[in-house]
Amino acid sequence: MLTEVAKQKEIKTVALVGNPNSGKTSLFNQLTGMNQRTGNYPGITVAIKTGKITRQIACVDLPGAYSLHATAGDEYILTNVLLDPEDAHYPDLVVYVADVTQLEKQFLLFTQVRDLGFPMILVLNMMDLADRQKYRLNIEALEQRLQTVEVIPVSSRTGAGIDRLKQRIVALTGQKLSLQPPANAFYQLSTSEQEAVDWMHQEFGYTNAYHSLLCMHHHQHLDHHSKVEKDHISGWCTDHHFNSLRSQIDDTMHRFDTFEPILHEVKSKNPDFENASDKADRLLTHRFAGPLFFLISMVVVFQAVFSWATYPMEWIESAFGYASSTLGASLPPTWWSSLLIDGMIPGIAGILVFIPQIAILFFIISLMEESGYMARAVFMFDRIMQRFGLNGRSLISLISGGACAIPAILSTRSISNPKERLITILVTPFISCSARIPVYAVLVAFVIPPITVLGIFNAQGLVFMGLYALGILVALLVSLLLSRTMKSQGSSYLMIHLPEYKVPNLRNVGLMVFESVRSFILEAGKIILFISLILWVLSSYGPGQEMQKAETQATEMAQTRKLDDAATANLVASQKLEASYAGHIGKWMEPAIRPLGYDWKIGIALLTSFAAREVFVGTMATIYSLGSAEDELTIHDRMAKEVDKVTGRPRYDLPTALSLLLFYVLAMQCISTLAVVKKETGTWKWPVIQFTMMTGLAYLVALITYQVFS
Amino acid sequence: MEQNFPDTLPQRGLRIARLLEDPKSTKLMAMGVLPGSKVDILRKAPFGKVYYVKVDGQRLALRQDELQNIIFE
Repeated sequence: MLTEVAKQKEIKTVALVGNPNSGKTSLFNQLTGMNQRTGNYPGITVAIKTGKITRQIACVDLPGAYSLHATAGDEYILTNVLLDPEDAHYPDLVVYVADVTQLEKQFLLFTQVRDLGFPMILVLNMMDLADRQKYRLNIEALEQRLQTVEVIPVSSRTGAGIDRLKQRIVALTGQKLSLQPPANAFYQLSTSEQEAVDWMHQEFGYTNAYHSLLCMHHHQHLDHHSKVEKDHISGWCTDHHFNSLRSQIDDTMHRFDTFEPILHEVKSKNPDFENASDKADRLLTHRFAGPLFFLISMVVVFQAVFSWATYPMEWIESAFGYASSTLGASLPPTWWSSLLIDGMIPGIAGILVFIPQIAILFFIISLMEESGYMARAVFMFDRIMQRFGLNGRSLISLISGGACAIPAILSTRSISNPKERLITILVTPFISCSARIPVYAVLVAFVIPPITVLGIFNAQGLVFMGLYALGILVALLVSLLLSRTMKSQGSSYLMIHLPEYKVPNLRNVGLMVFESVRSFILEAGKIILFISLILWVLSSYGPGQEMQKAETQATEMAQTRKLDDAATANLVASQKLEASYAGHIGKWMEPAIRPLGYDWKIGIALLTSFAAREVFVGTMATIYSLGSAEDELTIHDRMAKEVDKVTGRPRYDLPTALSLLLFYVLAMQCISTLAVVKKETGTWKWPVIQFTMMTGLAYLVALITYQVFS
Repeated sequence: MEQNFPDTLPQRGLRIARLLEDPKSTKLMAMGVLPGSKVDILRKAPFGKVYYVKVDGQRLALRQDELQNIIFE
């Protein structure tokens, strides 16, 4: 979109191309700053991001790849863009980003893009690391050998060289640019390849030989070839016994043979010595010490996420509480003030209250990603994850799910296998997130008294841990089940780089956190707000005159009982809720939840919890006529006094409380997560399947629990 | 003599003779795992089946089936 408009206005497109570990995304951040369009999440860039370098120059961050001979889904994006001049992201200038300390490994893609004839700048990134490793490169000699390509050393971490790069981009895009393959190509065509190229030229009029060859190899995955054209090309390949895989391997080999001598000539030495990263890895990836270190750091991280986030979350809640009460006191009691105070403000607060946890979690995840530790965790746990049909990278998402499923699902973008990524998305919400904590806290007391077991363990604490363990167990079992039943798309790879450990650049980390929070507010926020407005309508209005009747009755009741103002208001609220549409829905759904041990009041709480789980405590507070949800002890006391009218036992006895707890562990009760799943999978199919599967399982387990224990 | 990857670790200074003709090899080569490359297989992952490998000084984590595409000298 942006680039389409851009082209009409004679705006030039600059594409960043490079290997996944070249520091391309940091460079993109440095070049465009805050002028970015799509989210920027930890892990390999999967979505195409666009930004602006100047008003005249659009910048596109194309997904990282090792070669134009793509093997995985997201690698085809790059091949597609570079082979289709009609593509919205087709560049006028390619800025090729290479990690200078890994230049030999990152030069393959460079030579391929060069042979397509793009005007190019070669950016040698991570010069600061190269300096530290005493790695020397004769840049002028390299420039001479590459002829028409400018070579610019930068460090996207420290920002050195970025200004010069910007100047050169501006200068080059100001000139008339045209496609021109180098005089000495990095490849050589075999007889059969020459035949293929000639045929492609004749059929499609392609002038660039390497372009033709790539279209021949990858026609099945290229969007600019129609079905008929694809079949036409496939037919030719079969008729002429064109061995595409062999030809791709030969192409790769020949390129290495051609450029390795050039690089050898211009560089001082191969840094093949044991450095700090190797020494660190001897401990951090050790058979026993490695996983132990990981587990301990996870415990510390989780403590941090919970304890740091508590304060800003309380500020946000109290600020909105204050806003509500101030507005409530000053505005006239009309429908619109109620909509504002009881619908919109709690709705917005419900969005913003997640920000501290999301920000802290993303901060820690991007620290892990930027420092290079994430790849080590993936290395250590890939095998375990594989057994459950997941990928090593799924581990990161499952861990993040302990704070909030939303950033966790966003982080699955780094999993390249579509099936493994989808399963990870589907099972991550089983991991107990922070929103379940208030629910657990209220209910666990009805399951077990606060006694001490084995001298040191708090029994309630153990039940808490059990609930978390159950979530993890179910997530893994469901993945196993899904991986056996779902069709596999493409093969599964690990093949991950273990990059040099480095001190994270705080600007990049900050940008990642900023982008994730912004994306959360814009995307998930819309839906949370919408649902809370619906809930407000349902609980503020009732059929016919029932609401008014309930209000009159409650006021009379309060007068005969001689209640004070606050208690009267609470009683009125509770009676009105029963008379409202929400109350009617609760009563209507009672038969369905009766076998689980719940009544209509719990029904309303369940229903409202489908917007977000933590709504449970607030709804309970309203239903049981409590003014404030903050004091859990009073909710507990009030709930404890509640008697089941059918059985005559306490409403919240062991069977009901346990059944309700297990329901909350397993059920999909988070509209914002479903919205994110829709956004990430691109269809409503998967959130619907996920919702049905999780809630069905929750219902079944709660049913069995209640029936067995009662 | 050609051999598959060895059982005892660490193995240092291995040379790659060739790669099997397989889509996995294309990706391995794109990551710089090439005939003639010097390979150190340093350690196995804590839960097995994945290896910490250095190829010409560059660190990679490779699964066993990925490593089996490589034929050493």
